[in-house]
Amino acid sequence: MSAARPRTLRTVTGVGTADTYDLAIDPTRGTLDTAVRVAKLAEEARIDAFFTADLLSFGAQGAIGSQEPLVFVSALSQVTSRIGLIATVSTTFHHPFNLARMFGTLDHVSNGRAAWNLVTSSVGEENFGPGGLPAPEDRYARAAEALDVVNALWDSWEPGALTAGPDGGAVLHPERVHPIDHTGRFFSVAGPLNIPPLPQRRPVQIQAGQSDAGRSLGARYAEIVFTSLPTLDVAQDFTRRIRAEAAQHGRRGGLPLIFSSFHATYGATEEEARRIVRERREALDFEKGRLQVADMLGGGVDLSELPLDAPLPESLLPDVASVHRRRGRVDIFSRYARQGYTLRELVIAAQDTGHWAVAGTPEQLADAVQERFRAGVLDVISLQGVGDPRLHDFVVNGLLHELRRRGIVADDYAGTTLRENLGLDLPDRTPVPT
Amino acid sequence: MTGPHVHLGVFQAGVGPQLVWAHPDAAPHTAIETFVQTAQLLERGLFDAFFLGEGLRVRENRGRVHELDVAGRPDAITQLAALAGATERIGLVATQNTTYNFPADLARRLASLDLLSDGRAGWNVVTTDNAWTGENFRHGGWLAHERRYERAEQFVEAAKALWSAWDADAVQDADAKSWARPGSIATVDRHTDLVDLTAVPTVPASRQGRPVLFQAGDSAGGRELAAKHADVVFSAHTRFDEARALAEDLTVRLARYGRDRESLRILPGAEIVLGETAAEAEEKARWVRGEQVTGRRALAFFEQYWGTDLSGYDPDGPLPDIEPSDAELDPSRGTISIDRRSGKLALIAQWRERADAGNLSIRDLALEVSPGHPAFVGTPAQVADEWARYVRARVVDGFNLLPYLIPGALTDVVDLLVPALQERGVYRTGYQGSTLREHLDLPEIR
Repeated sequence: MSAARPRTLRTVTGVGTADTYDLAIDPTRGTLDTAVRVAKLAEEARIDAFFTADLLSFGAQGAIGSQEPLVFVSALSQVTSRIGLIATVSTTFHHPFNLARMFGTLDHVSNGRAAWNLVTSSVGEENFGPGGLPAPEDRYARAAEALDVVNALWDSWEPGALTAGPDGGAVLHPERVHPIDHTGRFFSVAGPLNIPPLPQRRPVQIQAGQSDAGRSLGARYAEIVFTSLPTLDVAQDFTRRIRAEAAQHGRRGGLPLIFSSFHATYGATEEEARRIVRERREALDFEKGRLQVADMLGGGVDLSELPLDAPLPESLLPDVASVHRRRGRVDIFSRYARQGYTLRELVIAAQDTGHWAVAGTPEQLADAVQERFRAGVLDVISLQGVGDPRLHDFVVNGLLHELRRRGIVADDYAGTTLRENLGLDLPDRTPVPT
Repeated sequence: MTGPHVHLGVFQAGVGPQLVWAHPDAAPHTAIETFVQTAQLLERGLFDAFFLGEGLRVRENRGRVHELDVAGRPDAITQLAALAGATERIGLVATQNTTYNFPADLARRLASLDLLSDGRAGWNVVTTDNAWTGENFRHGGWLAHERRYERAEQFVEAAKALWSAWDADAVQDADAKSWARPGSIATVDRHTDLVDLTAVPTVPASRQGRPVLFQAGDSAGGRELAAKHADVVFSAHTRFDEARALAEDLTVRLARYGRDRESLRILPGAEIVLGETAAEAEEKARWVRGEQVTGRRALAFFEQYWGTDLSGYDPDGPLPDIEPSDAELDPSRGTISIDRRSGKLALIAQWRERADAGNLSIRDLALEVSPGHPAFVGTPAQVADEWARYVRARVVDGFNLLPYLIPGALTDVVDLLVPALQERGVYRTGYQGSTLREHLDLPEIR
């Protein structure tokens, strides 16, 4: 972050949420058309980046499928020119050499707009052959090593390794291209990468996952952490912890940036927003909801016979250490249950899957955003609904406009690369092996 | 289209001596703008496909980065996805190997490219067995040479199963409760000795059903894989008699799998040089060859075989008087057949005889024996006549062009050769379909 620039809130949008995933996969609607339209509208609204989530398999909450995110955002690279392109890709099922190539290519084709939302996978292991899903500790240790390798590969070409000669022809300077000679617990990689230096040198690195192991990985590596922070208290606690841990790794203050989801319910009046929330609750299918809560609690409990209006018995709550997937979410829902939430209340909470959820007029939503931004626990926000006919006007001309009016969000892109737009300095280069 | 037609693709290898990448007239070879302009040029020329090579290690010479070879190969699927957003008709073919990918992941990435491009994706199936490339992926150990096509076959079969797991009517109307009809998406289970997966694919089929499969290997294993699974053979045989022999061999192999010649397109890789007169074309071909085999490149070529530093030798002088090392040839400069790897001493002995007999310098010999010779040299009319003869005899179905200079070599083809082919009635005058499968006139996926 350059010191001269005042701190502003950065914005992200995307397709791929529960309401819009079908836009991306339904071949009867044209393959790229919807995404192209959303990305262009987002760029017009000067939103910093376009986000694609990933799910490797079909979930218990219903059939959710999607295309491979990196292929998807790469296809958007030629129909946009300013907006950042964030692809969620798991380290669990990819080799780091392929990861470095894939994101390196995305950075080249987008001329410096690539970002990697790094996840470790808790589902989808059956797609990737023998071995099963590693325990979370191993998953994060493997992710950390994969990141060391990928960063070293991106740094393996020094600036000026490929230049134009005096006659304009290309010249390769082999003394500026280095092997990485990595040998570790999970990988052995010779290098160098077979792609010239990336426009951003390294794509922006985002990390999701808020279990202890996930937070530690983010504290060490992530430039941005993507989290579900349902309340200000939780957000303050999370921010304090991850920044303290980051400081122990010698990282400077203010890193990693905190990127929060934001489940907004918009109304032209406060009453309308409340009515929408009420109607949504009344339409809830509580039988399906029991399965959703069971999933939020790690999937190992049977809630089908319990009364809806009583708290959950303590004996049903999982020991978080025994859960091997989505630990952060299990932690949040166990906490709710211990606070005495009834099963009905848990089903309602499960609709926001532990995310920050606010209802109100654009001005009221801006108040909520402003509170977190001023408290220093919010640097990047996810704004869904761009291009959605019911929501677009609320998001862009309502909330975003109001945040700009208050000087919280900048009016225009600050630079040409995503890194510049987010105000992120480049980390030091990986030293060349001797 | 009725009657035999020339189908054209461009194979951009991204490495190798045939591309004159460092020439001032060459467009920046790693810039996305170059790829976009090339794909759009080919679309103007009504080409079937734009086809990218793949490599997983920077080429080396004597253990260091080889500065005379092109360095910089993008990930093909990511690159082609970008081109899908910038083009409308042309097929987009990615070379991807079956050794260093997971079947479910690669099948999903290719299916995504196919869906996003509205049915224009292709996959050139290749294998890798060499330890040198493996050093970017492994703690050690790699697939034995003999087993690479077994893995490829199991891999391709898994991919085909994943691509056909969705019922044709699986996707429901937007107002249905769930976008997929319950029970319409099969779980794919493959448990063979080299592939092990249980997967529910997340991407529906494109309008062409699945990506078009290309196969390039010329060994018996490669040809058998092609006969069983490929839609297109990317062969190396451009001489008429050799091309006919391959077509006959493949026709026999296809029959074993219940397929006929019409279900396969044979598109050999071909370098072509055009000129306004035959003499001008010959002169240009000599210039191209000279750029491809400079003195330094000639020395580097032989260094790979000698296994030692030859930089002290004059490329215009006789062959090195020192004996080559007897170490096996490593593949650090590209794909090398097994007999060349282990039989290099015999090869060098033959080269010596040839040089002595013809009084050839190092560079003269390299011009004769190093890869990259134009297969077709002439005026647009001459080449068009020749190609019409090839496709009418059905020895090939077209060509994958290997450009020596981008974009110059391709501009000539689009502006001069394509009209000559159209005049002879062997080239389309407009795209009739929209998918790659339709461009190639291949039967529909059932």
